[in-house]
Amino acid sequence: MKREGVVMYEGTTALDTVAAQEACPPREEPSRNWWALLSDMPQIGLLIMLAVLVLFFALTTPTFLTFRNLAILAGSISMIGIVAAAMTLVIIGGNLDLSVAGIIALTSMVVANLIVGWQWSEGASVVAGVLVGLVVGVLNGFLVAQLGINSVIATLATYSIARWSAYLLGTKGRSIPLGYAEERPFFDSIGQGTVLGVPVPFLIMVVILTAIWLFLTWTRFGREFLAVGGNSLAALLTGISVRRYTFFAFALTGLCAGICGVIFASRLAGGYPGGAMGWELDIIAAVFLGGTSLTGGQGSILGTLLGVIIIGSLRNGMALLGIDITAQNIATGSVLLLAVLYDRLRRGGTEL
Amino acid sequence: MGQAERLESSAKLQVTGATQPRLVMEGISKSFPGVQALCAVDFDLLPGEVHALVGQNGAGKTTLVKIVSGAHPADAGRILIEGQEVRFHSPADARRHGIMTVHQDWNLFPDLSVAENIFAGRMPIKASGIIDWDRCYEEAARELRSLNLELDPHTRVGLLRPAQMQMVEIVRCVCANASIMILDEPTAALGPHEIESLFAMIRCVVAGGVSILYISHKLEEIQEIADRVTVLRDGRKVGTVRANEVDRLELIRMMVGREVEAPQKQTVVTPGAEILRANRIGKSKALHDITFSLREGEILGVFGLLGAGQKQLIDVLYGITPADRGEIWVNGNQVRIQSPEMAKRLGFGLVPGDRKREGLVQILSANANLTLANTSLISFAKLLLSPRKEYEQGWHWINSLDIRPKDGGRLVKYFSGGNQQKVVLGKWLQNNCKVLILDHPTQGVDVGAKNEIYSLLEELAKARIAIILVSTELPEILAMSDRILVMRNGTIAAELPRQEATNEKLLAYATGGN
Ligand SMILES: Nc1ncnc2c1ncn2[C@@H]1O[C@H](COP(=O)(O)OP(=O)(O)OP(=O)(O)O)[C@@H](O)[C@H]1O
Ligand SMILES: [Mg+2]
Repeated sequence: MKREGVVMYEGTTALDTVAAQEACPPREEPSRNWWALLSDMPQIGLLIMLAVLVLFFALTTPTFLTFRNLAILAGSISMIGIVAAAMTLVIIGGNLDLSVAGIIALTSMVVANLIVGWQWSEGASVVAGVLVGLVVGVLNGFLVAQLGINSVIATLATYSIARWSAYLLGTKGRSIPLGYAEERPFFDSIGQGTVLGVPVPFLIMVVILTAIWLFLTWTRFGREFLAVGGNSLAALLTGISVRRYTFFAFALTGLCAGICGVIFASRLAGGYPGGAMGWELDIIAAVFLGGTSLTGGQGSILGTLLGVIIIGSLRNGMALLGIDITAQNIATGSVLLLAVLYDRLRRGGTEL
Repeated sequence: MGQAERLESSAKLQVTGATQPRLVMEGISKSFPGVQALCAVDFDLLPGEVHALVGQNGAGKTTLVKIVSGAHPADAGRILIEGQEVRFHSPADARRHGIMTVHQDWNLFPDLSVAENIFAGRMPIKASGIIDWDRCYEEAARELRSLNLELDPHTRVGLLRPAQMQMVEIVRCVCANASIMILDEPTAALGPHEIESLFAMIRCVVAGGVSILYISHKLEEIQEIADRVTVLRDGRKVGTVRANEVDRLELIRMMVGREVEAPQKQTVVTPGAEILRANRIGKSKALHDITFSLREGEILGVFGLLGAGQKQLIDVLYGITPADRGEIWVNGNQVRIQSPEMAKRLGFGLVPGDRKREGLVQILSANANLTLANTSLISFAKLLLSPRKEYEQGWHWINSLDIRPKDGGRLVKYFSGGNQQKVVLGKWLQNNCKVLILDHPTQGVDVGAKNEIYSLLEELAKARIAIILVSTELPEILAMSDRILVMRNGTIAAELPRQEATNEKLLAYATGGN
């Protein structure tokens, strides 16, 4: 009796299933509006934004698209870009590093001091400058990863330490000019030289961005890093050392800020304790704009590069239009806010 | 009575039934990129009824429920409430129509009191505009009493046991005047006692006229609590039957389309050398005097009511919160396990109990999650990722665990609950560890896949891997373990060999009553 039921039952479903398969409505493609497209491919949105900006500045200023200006632009975005590449890792890990501008200023002062005051060779001064950045980065990493201090608080403290140490290095807090450039061909070329017309800082940025991109997408450590950012508890329970990766991100950012500080000193031919003021804003804005978010462990180096170019073009174009630095800062602040809101909307659109 | 007649009679019941259904769903279809999750599904819910929804992992249960609760729009079909067609654009829309969902991961505020949680967002206000705390606590106390719950409305929710949290969520729905309540696998992580009290409460709520849509993979409980059962398979409705007219095996046949045997360990592995020994370990007030040993190829079951210290034991063994008393010996060497990383180096693996928080990286693909515990297996020269190796590893586990859909490149968050659980499990199965700790490894996994998992565990035991199986599911513990530890109040209340263990004995030791 029971068996019979089963047989009958199985017979019916087979038919049912066939019938249902025919009855099932074909999937209507949901209307792919522009918003859905944008939220699927954030980088397209960035490219459009960049195109609009370039078009705008090309039309309103005569010089924006000249080769000379583009070379200047490439040089200036490189400094932001070098630090933003590493900052992407910090932010993927759910942290922030506010100390970078302080590190840049401190490095520039250390390098200038060593060259002018201590008569060190160019090479040794450069290495020492980069190491200063690394040391502050290591300190940040120790505070956040090992002691578990909130990254905003920890790096706010180290920012202020780095910034004011920079002031201490100059007599009465003054900057240290380097004097004649001819005496330091190597040091000079770091910030101002070109290779086949491409500024050296730009090349350095490309190398660093590529290295970090390779790390993140093509090494198993990058995979583990993404897991730490995506769900640090799950990563921890998988036996991945969350601490080590967090430490690594901060140390690398310090190192990159050190490199940036050396370039800064070379481009401005001196050490400036008040230099790079507010750069952390541009750097963080560029990373957020590129689609990396504090909560998701998601991030893209390509996005960061686009973010850097957009922020740089915005500043460069506004300068060409004669808009002063105060208004420029207000504009980049607004861009950061927009980037965060856009990220929110995009997430709200795809999740649920 | 044959199945077809039965289907017919239940259809008749709907036509001639005196009461009008409270909720009717007609021809609901829903697809996600690459998956037809639901296909022309009909469903209805009568007033004061518990209607269960069952089906294999990925059958579309959660998707259907998300459509009723306004979280997903349907591609086709319509929803009627009390005969009126409705369209939900958001969960808030559905709530306005009296549809509330009790989520499996409780959406409560752990730092607030029971009463505050019950009234969250709808606090009684005095005329002067400030919160009327007296009324808030009074009303909460009254609601709790009317549902026969012995809970103090002043207790902080974070201190409650999981089952109690679930109940607070239900009270919250009742207080919000929900007429339709959706419970998606409410008992996946509960033990037999907690389930009993949850059921008592559900009966109370239903007697008050509320309709309940109930999803579970535990079929025994469906026969106990549900009036009708609707079975889904591959997104299609197989049929609706009365719960008291169908037995477990028949339900399984409807779900899976074939017979599934009850789990039973087939072979007994003769255990090898001792690999792990715990000697009087303890952790603050939560864990005392835990002493046991574990041998290669042995499956050690750990049973207890929820909150009896199993979680703390796992934390200590896996180095999440190191022990502060006692000794742990691994392979004859005394060790101090300070971190999960160190535990992993010693050969431990852990399948954690909370897949969403502890198990998965939602933003990575299923393959990436499956291979995360041993990334050197999928790389060249232990450095560069090899997409081909990753795909092969993933494919292997997708097949042996029957993860569906068979698309390892999909982000793991787009898999159904049970399939996500299989991913968490697969992550450790491949990592050739020596001691594998499993915390409720089959929660949310359907009957068919459960057996697959059990036979995999047997394979592991044959390969001389020692397994610690922590579970509140008695049948699982009884079927799989070679030896059983029963925990109570942070200590080991009893140790029983498999032959001596029975349902009654284990429960008696776990509760302390004899
Ligand atoms: N947001 C989503 N995006 C893409 N696919 C999805 C999404 N949600 C569910 N799916 C797919 O739809 C199908 C049905 O999933 P659903 O969660 O409804 O299953 P279920 O019956 O609840 O299973 P389980 O018992 O495992 O919880 C699955 O194949 C799943 O992979
Ligand atoms: Mg589900």
